[in-house]
Amino acid sequence: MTGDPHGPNKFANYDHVHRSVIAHHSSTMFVLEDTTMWVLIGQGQLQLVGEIRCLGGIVIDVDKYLVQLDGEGPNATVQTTDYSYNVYIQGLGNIFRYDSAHHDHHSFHHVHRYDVFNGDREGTVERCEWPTLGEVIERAAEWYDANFEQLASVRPH
Amino acid sequence: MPYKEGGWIMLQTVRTADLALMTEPERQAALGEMMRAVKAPVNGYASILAARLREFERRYEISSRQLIEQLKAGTRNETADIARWLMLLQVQRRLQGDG
Repeated sequence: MTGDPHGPNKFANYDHVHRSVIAHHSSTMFVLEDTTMWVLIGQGQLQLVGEIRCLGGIVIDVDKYLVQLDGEGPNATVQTTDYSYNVYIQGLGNIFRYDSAHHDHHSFHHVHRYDVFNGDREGTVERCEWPTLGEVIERAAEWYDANFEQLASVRPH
Repeated sequence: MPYKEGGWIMLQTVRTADLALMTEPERQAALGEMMRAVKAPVNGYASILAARLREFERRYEISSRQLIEQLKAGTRNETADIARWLMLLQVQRRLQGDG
């Protein structure tokens, strides 16, 4: 239950990690607002969905599904089954999107990358490691730092 | 949001920002309640899931089966919208015990 960030985890730990990640990136002023919410589907399934709004008009669209494996109460064990983290600039387009393996297509963890400043809607697809939400926020922050000037030119204050 | 048997079907939701504002005992109690709710049988969500899948099929004017065929054939680009659609199909499979 320790070591693998994607392995089964207590729901209370899962919640703690989420709050810690958001608090950390809020303290660096990159994350401005977290609108994610838990949807309690039932039959052992739940969804984390919503937007994490960041500097530069960057939005991380979070959509992930988890299953409850065993246990009771806050220490019940849950595990992620599917996820999509779409990082885009409001009014401009996608920067990158991490997706879990699909059932019939792209049956591996993969990332779509877009040349957002040139109107790229097709993007490229490549295999990748399964990222945590914290890693996705870090990569969005790195992208923001690396593209700050160009971003400022297309999103004037 | 689907309408069924005289009322709108409401999803059970909890904002993560609200959990962050709770005291530790309040949060532990809330997380425990959430896990109890997750264990319950699916009621309204099945209708919402079906409605969302129908909406995707209407918007793109293809069935979910055709979507899979087009993705396999490389004639359909996998957008963020399509990724959501595929995940909903995966949820549906799991709810039907086929996931």
